[in-house]
Amino acid sequence: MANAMLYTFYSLWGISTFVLIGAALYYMLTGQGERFDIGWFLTETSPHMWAALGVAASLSLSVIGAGWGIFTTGSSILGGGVKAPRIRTKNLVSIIFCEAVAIFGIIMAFVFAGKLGKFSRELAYGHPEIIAKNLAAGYYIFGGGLTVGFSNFVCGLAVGVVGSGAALADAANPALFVKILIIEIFASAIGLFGMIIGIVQTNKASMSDTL
Amino acid sequence: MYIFYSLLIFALLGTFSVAVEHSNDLEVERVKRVVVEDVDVDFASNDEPSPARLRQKSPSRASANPSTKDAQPVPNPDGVVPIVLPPYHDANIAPFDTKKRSCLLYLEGITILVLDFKSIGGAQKAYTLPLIAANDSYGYQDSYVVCPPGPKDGGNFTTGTPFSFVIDYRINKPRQLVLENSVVMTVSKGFMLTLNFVSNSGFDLASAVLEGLTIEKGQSGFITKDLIRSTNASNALGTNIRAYFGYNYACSVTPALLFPVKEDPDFLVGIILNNFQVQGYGVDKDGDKTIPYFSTRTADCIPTFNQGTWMGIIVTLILVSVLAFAFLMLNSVQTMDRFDDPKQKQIVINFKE
Repeated sequence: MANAMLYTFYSLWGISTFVLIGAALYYMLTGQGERFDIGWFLTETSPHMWAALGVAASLSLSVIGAGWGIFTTGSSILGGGVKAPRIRTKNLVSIIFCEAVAIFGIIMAFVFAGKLGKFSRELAYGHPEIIAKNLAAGYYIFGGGLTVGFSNFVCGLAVGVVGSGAALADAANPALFVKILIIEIFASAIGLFGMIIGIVQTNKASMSDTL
Repeated sequence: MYIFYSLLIFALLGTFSVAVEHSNDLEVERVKRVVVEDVDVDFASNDEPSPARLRQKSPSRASANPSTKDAQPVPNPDGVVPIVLPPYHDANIAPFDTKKRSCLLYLEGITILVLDFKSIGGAQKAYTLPLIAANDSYGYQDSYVVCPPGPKDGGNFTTGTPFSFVIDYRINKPRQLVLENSVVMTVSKGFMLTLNFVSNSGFDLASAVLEGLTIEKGQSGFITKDLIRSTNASNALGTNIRAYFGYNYACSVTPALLFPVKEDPDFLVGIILNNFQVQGYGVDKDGDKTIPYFSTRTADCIPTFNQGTWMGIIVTLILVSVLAFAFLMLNSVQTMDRFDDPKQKQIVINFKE
């Protein structure tokens, strides 16, 4: 599991570093260094792409976190439930905490997708402030999506591991369950932080053809 | 194993990018070429054009008002020759002499653009009329092309050296733009377009002068009176027709050079150059029986990594990483082997037919 994440991020980092450094060095060493222009890249790429990536990140990363958490907790409940069947119903609360993380993600994805709008560069030709507003909206939604997505991702992981510990501790000694549930509530608050900050980030985002 | 795959991907990406960059090396023609058939307008990055004439800062204008008395039409032997200045393919008109000049311009077509000025910002109304150079002809005389001599003949292409071309475009048959069975505009007379470049840390188009362009009105009512333009371009620097030092500039559709006139502000007339390549210095040929050619280093108006390429690369990398992650997760599923005991007797299952 950890290997999968490690290899994916290594190869992704390696490929993007190679592409970036290769392109930069090629342009610089053949005398056309002005073509490697990060400002041009940030202003010319479509804000729709960034906004859509934000929506995608918000939903998909939250769901990955929720799914991973449910997988961790669920297998422990199943395993512990064999010898101590009384834990089955009580520990569904942990599963619900994980599911809430996925719901945060989908709510924020709805909110972000509602801020997308029509924008065509040709109509905003002589008005840089319209282009600036739309670019800013694209980046706001991208950032908001990453915020929500990554914090929900880690929240789901954390709730899953704690829930798994709670199930096994409950199977051993029923008095422990409530105390461990408090830890799980703290872990769940992380997902809420992400959602609140995501809303704050995208408050001013609006994409349109007019000011 | 994974290191091998990632190295393979690095090597492939590297080879591909180098190959694409050097795909011009073996050919004389440019690789990036797009047929112009749509009426889209690509605007230069300038604010609203001011009716007043833009003061030019170039040190010297080579031929501000070229006279046409000695200009001969360049014969088209095959009928499909584009505009080549100087017309080296005909040694009688323009013998190749690096002591005199070492520049070259190649142009396959001009598109004339008429834009309704008041409609900018709303539903923009613009019409384009393509003129394909193979069906027309162009004139040439020696003063039309002014550039420095070749590198081996003492020419000096340093900062501030100007070079210029005059395109004396002659229309054989009047060209009309017909949409929905009504004529929008007609061009029947030729015109002269002067392109003045100046070299700095590369070269760029400093100014352009248009003379004698007449667009006659048609029945459709888009243009209410004939448009005549003989003026300087207002956005020559904004069209970004420029290249690095030692490179030539090539473009399949350049941004429009706009020629506004104070007396007639309703319609903007622009000239778009199609399949255009220009080099100011360093054109040479391989011996007597060959023709001069552009050097291999070309700065195209659309770079290799343009906006679309970068957006595609980012999204592709994200999706491929998701796929890789999923695959590695699936691969890491292992069966439990805690209770396997190789020394115990094998379980035998009898199949009864």
